[in-house]
Amino acid sequence: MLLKHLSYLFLLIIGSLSFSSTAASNESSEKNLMKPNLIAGTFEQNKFFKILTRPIKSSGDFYLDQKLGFYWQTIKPVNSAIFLKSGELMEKDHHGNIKSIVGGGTLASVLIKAISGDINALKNEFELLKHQGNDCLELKPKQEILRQAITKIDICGGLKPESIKLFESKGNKTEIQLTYHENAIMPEAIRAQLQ
Amino acid sequence: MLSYSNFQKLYVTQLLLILLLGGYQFAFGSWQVQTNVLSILPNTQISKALLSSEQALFGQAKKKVTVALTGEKVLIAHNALVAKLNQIESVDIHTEQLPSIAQISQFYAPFKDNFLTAQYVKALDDESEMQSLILSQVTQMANPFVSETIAFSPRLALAEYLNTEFNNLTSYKQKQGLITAELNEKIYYLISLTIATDAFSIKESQLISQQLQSVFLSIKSEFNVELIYSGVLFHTAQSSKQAEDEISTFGLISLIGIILLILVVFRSITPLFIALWVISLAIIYGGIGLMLFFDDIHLLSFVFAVTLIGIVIDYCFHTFVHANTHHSAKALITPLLLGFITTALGYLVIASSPMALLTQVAVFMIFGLLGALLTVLAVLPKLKQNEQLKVQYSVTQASERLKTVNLYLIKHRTGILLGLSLLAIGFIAIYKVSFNDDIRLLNSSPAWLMENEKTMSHLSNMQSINRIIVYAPTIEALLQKQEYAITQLKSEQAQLDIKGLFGLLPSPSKQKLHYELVNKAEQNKVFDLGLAQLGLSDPLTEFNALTYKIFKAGPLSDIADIYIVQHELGYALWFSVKGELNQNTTKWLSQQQDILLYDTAKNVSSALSQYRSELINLLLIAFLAITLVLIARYGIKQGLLSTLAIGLSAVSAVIFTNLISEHLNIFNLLGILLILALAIDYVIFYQEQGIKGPTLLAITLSALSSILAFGMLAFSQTPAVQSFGSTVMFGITFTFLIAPMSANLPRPNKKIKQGNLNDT
Repeated sequence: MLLKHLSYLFLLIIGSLSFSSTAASNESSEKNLMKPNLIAGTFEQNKFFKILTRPIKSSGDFYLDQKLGFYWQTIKPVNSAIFLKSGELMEKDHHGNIKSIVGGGTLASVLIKAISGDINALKNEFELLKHQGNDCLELKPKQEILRQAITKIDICGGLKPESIKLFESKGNKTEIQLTYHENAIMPEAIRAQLQ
Repeated sequence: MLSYSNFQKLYVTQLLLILLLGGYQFAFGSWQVQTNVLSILPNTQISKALLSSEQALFGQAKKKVTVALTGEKVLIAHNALVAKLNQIESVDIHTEQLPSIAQISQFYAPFKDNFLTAQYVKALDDESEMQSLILSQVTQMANPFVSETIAFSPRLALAEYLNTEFNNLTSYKQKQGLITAELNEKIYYLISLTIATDAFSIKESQLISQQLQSVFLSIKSEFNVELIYSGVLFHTAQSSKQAEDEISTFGLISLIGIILLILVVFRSITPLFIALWVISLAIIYGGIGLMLFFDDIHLLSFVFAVTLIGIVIDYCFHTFVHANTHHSAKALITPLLLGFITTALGYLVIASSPMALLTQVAVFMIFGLLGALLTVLAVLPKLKQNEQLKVQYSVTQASERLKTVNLYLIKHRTGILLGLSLLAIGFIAIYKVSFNDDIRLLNSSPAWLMENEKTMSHLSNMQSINRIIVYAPTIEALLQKQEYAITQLKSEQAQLDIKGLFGLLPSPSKQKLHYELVNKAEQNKVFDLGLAQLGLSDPLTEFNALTYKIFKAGPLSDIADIYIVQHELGYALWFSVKGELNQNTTKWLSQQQDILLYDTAKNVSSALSQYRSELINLLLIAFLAITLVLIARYGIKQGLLSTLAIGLSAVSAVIFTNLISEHLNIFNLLGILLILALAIDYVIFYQEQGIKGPTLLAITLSALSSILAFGMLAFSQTPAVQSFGSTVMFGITFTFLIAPMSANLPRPNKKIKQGNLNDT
């Protein structure tokens, strides 16, 4: 069960992008409805394993479409993707083979709630702490089983989170930097994948 | 010739011996009552080892109860429910959780190179492919096993393997540490219970069911949540409650009816007690017969053998009525003996069946009828002219009027029997009598409970799931046989979604194969590029197999217990296959000695279908044998007339039952079995004694009591009971009307060949 939480955790974080901005600015749900249909950008990820002397770097694109779903595409060092389609979480390997990650149904539900600013959905899973000094939100897992793997998640950047840090209980850490593209268009290949 | 006093002495002696033998068999015999429905399958179809495996794997399932809650206050309701359930002594709540990722990773660490996914095996031939695979593992977010295993297994074969296997293990999720499942955009919180009681009696199940339902109701109303529950317990409780209600209603009506009938005819209740005594002895004889010949006596044999009562009561009424006449004992003994011989002959044919259940029913009936016959013969002279058995004058008059009606019918019997025969043939030709052996049609559970089962099945993702049972004498052979079965299934239908323990615990030989593949790739330096990227090394250790014993002692032992069991004949496991099995797959499975497609409803339906078709064949053979006996005894004309009367009664019962119900089932045939046995007795008495007042009276009493005892069951809400009851109701009515037409016409001033009776 734990791995399922972990597997969709990343999507949860992405979902919380809109949540954090909603929570911070206390916008009304009407304003949420005015959010753009597509949030897109690029990411750079550094994974710090305690056993390794240097981080493992990767980068790629992400697309969050209110209607179609979510697509997280790693381009370097190996092409692969994780995407959410019709509530189902899928994984695509570097050969293009797609397999379902069981548990995506719940994830889809949580994700959609997070994007639409439904704070209660996230409150069930995490304790939400807003940092006073900066524009960051700290998420602490409420469940013991989740806490066994994750100590906390930091989301920083205000309305559009720019940095996400995931701290694992083993001492490993994942840092993700996000850059947003205004007026982005979802590539046809990805759109086709999500449809 | 054996004198009556000697016969009585012999009877008492054999009765004592029988009772002693019965007592010994009951206490020390090797017999046992079998309740497993699969054991009624034809002997060749399913091995004893698979039966034991099925029992060991799923026998406990009847003690399981699942509860699902959803709603706004679901968490509070869940906690309140758990608190209330904890107060019920016989209920155990399952709170097991999967061990942590760290625990699992550490457990598999000593066997790190024994587990490879298909994708990993492909990458073992290509260094750059292996590098890509390792890099994609360390960069992806969806695999928590990477963090846990990278330190001791940097090749990341184990991380990829465990992630794949655990991802596919279950469709359940966890929220707030509780098991959940999603359906129609609603999240249900699930609680699994075990009813901790050894004797799962009907009374107990009713009591616990009531307790649980009361708790569920209070939680529903207090927290305004949707709460559904399922489990065999509730079906047992509902069915048994329905059966109890019916027994108390129908039983009372039957009892009052039979008492009134006996009071009207004899003005005494003594005949009732005598009949009960004879029936009890007959049941004891039947039981002893079963214990003598069978080690595993199926509970259903007793249910089917209830027909014994219908025939025994027939013997009793003939004896009571005979006690009122001045006729010799022989006048009763001859038809009783003939009736017994022909009925027993019919059952002997049925006993030759390969179907265990039919053989048991036949043995029970033959022994039971023998006991009843010996008893009535032994008490016969004692009852003669007994005041307590004196038939009332008004009843005698009524039977005389009945005689007149029957004599009229006999005069016109050619036209009547021909007309009825043509009608029957016409109906069968036009409408066709159809059977449906689907066991689910016999289900008497209420609709709401069936709906709950359906929802639970969706929640657990168990709809369209097939379960396959595998048996082997050793655990190693078992794991290998499972892998062989899965390979075969996949080769036939690659798209099948197969879940089980095979991934977490492959056979040691498969582990060894994977280890050697890694060893070979290591020697070919396939991992060098990938490991260099990480800056790590991963020296190969000696092969060490993860065995079942080690697995059972590890953190995943709870999962092992779900899938694998050890029983007296060896080991058994099961795995699930999602998707429709095609004909080839089903055929392949049916050909396997130690592999079983476990589908209780389908297996039982198939067994019922085979029993039904076998029973029809046996009934026809028995009917032929009886015809020959009747012809041999009464000549061609009277023999054929008797056969026609029996056959027409049975066919009419089938036709009328088919008219009121869409399909017939084996329980209708069971009714026919009783009809045939009664009809044989009726025609033999008419042939032996002619249309006489006492004969008509005894047969009328027999028919009325059978209708009261069995025909009432036609109004039951339980489909199987209703099927039996309606057929018996129609059958007895037709037998009663048609059987007299087979009798010889009385000739003035001339005694009937075999009979020597005077009218009362």
